Amino acid sequence: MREFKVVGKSVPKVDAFPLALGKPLFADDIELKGMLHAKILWSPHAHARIKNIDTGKTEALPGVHAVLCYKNVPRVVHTSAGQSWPEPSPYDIVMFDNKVRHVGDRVAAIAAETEEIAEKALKLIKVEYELLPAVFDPEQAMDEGAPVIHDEPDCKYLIPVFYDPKHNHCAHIDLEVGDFEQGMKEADFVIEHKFKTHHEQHCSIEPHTCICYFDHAGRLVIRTSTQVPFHVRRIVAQCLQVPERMIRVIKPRIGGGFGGKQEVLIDDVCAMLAMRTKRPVRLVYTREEEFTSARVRHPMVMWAKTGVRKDGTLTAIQLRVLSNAGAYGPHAMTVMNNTCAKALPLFHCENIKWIADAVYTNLIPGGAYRGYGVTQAAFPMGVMMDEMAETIGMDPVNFWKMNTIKKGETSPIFKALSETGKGVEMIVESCSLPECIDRGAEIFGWREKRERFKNQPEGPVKYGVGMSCMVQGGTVPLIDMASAFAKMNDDGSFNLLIGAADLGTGADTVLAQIFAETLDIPVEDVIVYPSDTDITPFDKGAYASGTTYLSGMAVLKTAEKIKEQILNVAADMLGEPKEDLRIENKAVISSKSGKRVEFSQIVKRALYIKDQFQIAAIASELSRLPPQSFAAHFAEVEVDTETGQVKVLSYVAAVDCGTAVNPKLAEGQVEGAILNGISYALTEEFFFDDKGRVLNPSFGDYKIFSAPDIPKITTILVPSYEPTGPYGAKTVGEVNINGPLPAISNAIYNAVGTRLYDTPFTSERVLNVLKEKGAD
Amino acid sequence: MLNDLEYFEPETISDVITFLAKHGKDTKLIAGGTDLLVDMKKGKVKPKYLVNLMKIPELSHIIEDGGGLRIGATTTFREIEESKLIKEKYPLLFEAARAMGTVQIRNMATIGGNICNALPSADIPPALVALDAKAKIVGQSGERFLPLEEFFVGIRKTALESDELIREVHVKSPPAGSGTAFLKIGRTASDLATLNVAVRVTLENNGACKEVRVVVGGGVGPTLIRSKRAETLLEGKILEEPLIEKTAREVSKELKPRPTSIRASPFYKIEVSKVLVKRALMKALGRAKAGEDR
Repeated sequence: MREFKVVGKSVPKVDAFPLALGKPLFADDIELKGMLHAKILWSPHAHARIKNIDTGKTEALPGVHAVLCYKNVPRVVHTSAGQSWPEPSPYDIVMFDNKVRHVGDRVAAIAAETEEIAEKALKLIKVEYELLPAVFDPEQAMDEGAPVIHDEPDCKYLIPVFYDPKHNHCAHIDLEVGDFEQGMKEADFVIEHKFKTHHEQHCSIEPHTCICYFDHAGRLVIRTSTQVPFHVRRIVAQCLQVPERMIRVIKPRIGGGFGGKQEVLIDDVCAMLAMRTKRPVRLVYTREEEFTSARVRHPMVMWAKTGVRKDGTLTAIQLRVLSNAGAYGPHAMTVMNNTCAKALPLFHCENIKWIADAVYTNLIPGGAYRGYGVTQAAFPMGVMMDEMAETIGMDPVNFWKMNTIKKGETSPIFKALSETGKGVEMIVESCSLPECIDRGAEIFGWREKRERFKNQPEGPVKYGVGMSCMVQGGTVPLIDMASAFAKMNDDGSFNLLIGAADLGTGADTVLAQIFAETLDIPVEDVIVYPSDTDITPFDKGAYASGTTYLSGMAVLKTAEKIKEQILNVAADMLGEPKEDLRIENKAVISSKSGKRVEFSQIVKRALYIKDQFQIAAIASELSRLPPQSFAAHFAEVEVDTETGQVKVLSYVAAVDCGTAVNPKLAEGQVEGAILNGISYALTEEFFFDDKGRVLNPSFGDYKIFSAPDIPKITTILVPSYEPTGPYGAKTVGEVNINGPLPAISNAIYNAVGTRLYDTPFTSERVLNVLKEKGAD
Repeated sequence: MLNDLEYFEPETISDVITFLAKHGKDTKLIAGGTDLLVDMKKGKVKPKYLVNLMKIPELSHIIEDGGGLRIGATTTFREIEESKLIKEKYPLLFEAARAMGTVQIRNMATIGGNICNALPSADIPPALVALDAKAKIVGQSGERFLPLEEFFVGIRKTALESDELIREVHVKSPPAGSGTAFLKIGRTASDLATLNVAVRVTLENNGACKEVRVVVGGGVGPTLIRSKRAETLLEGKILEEPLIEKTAREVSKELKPRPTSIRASPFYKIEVSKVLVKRALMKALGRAKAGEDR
């Protein structure tokens, strides 16, 4: 491994101190003079036409300053997905429509002097609904005669892809590489199962928060908890029908995103209310609204069929996917595509067939969620791998190693598909997955535990271990772009202006480290200013695990340009050729004469003495390929066969994220993703009634793991070196959420001999499955 | 959103009683507020007057007295959980108190508040009923004692009159030869109970069961359920596993879980009640034999 000075070190987060001191850094931490409070009226019906809205009484209520509904806002079809233009999501949503498509859909909005008045005002709005039949089951959504959710004539995609809203068919793609049927013929064993994954909410501790106001020049400032400030600017401008130049988006510190904030969910309404009232307006979701009117992980029904030979060769894979997009289609196609594009390159298999559909239903819309489709596909694939290994009598460790992609190899999937459509050819130039499997198995005690659990203890409690491997390609190739700007100050420090969005992930710190490494300066000399569309250059935003890799390369290139300028000035000062000079410890040193000139002298010369100019640079980076990050996960569980309770006793994750620029932050990402994944696997669950209402929109009823529930998690970073990434770095944000579902399902099987194909593995589901098995 | 209300912080119990005599019907008493404030913010409860009991010193204490324990109404769960006296002599209360919520909630929530909120899923009431606890209730017409199981009359409904408050909870010391156990199933550590079971077994010198309490909570009916069936089946008998298993099955027939619960279906609650009741009885029996609960 290469050694670095700043990269690879767990330096403290650049924003740790003010955060620890409780400084007012988050979107909702400011109180503006004359600020109004906004509230939204939500649909109580899953599917209905709004025949009329009477807002007369509401508008007459003292303290109410604006009421918005379909009658008084422009109808601009767009997508709420915060993706690059032209968005690969259907334009199927407007700010307010005369139709509601799920319980919790927008009906109207109010800005009032206080939240209390706004609440009161909501109750005075009279809405006349014409109820329509609704469809909730994705397997019935495309049936002839099913209610058409998007019957409006103006819904469309901007890009040429399949779209058939008249049959609730939001997206469809299929592909085949190799010859699936031939692969099946070559198999000694064929295994086939149906799987189901469930809804999941992001549960960011900070809810969606937006404050809009006008600056001294009359421009609209949007202070918002977003992962995608530049997409927010573009989409809000679109919705409000104003030029982008009228809008400035500022992303302050963020209390978690996980994909939920890759969405223009409230910014358009808040901005429109500010426009109408000419007053600052604050709109903050309640926790209940996060559960009823935000976005969720797409639930999917999946049919997997695989063929394997006795010698362990994986001859064919078929994955059929039916994704429940809910009432709108943000990210519906791209998430669906990733169940193939970013999940299946993991496997050594020449014959792969994949058929996928996303359908509209009258439930809460899906959206971006950490893992982005790969999490869904990793579950059936991880379970199928376990079952195939068992069928041929091979240890899963060996079977996984034999059937996963290695350094120097490629997958036909890379070229065939990306999340937006056609893919790019690539060779995996960094991969330590085999070492991850070996080291993970060793530290977990895989062989010893597999042996031990062949003999289960007496009594109702059984024990088991399971594993799974995973991949997640980072960035959207040939679309995602990031850029950075930096300038040098009198004392040799630098301002680093980045469009990248730190969501609490530590991106600002990691990018400062990459900059500092390149110029051989301490991190303290990098003053990071992030995510302000007026000031920082463009960045696609924080998604697809791309910030360290892509924004990191933009920062590195910026620093290199600055380095050239510094060396030019130093060469002039020292009277020596640039080629003899090198940068070291905030100074330029001549390798020949040994003479040295400090950064502070160089910058003063540039600013004040001779041929004055600002040492500064801007650079962009376009993603050419999706770097592949890998992990091998091992779970040990305890299953109480009388109560169905599953407890994860220990969990080991061995992770290849290339170079970990900041190991502590990388470990934080790994542990966070695993915890997120275990909680999803065991307890998180949406309940809907037969009218499509969410029955458990609170942390009291929707259970996420908290501190006492966390099992022992061991993270092992197994480095590789990605030549296209900054100092060998790849990505780490998402890949590890793909492990818990299959690893825990496999561990439960190891303990009790019963497989779980439907999620989550709640006590009740496990007990039911055990009882069914007992009844057989 | 909190509605308009008047807020009071009396310092004596008699001040509270006087206030309640006048405004009892429009008043909510608040202690830790971990349930009440949530309900008020949701608009489920809209009191005109809110009376905080936390400034009344005579309401917060854990005192050993005669053959039992007196716990003041505003004693927090954390205080109960951390009391050496309770841990050593009333381990059932310790186990039940510790099973409730998170440390942060237990720092605020009080025993009186928990009882008066009368949620069928509450953790400490089954333990108290298993120990034959009584509520000491004070009001305008003086004081009265009510066995706790009679105190709960429905979901969020108690036998408390509008001019009354709970002053203390009295718990008898478990007789010699007793063993207890508290078991709970929830989805996470901080979850409300899907099911909870509190058991006390008291043995004769000859090993026969002298007295038993099996109390099941966690939304198995409008209130917790003290199983009379278990008492009939077990008292006077030598307790062995087959009898205990049979009893557990019988207890499950007394339960009437609501089908609307999000935490689990009635089927699951019934199935798991057989398991938890059996396990709790076996555990309590083992402890009684070992003399762990003195």
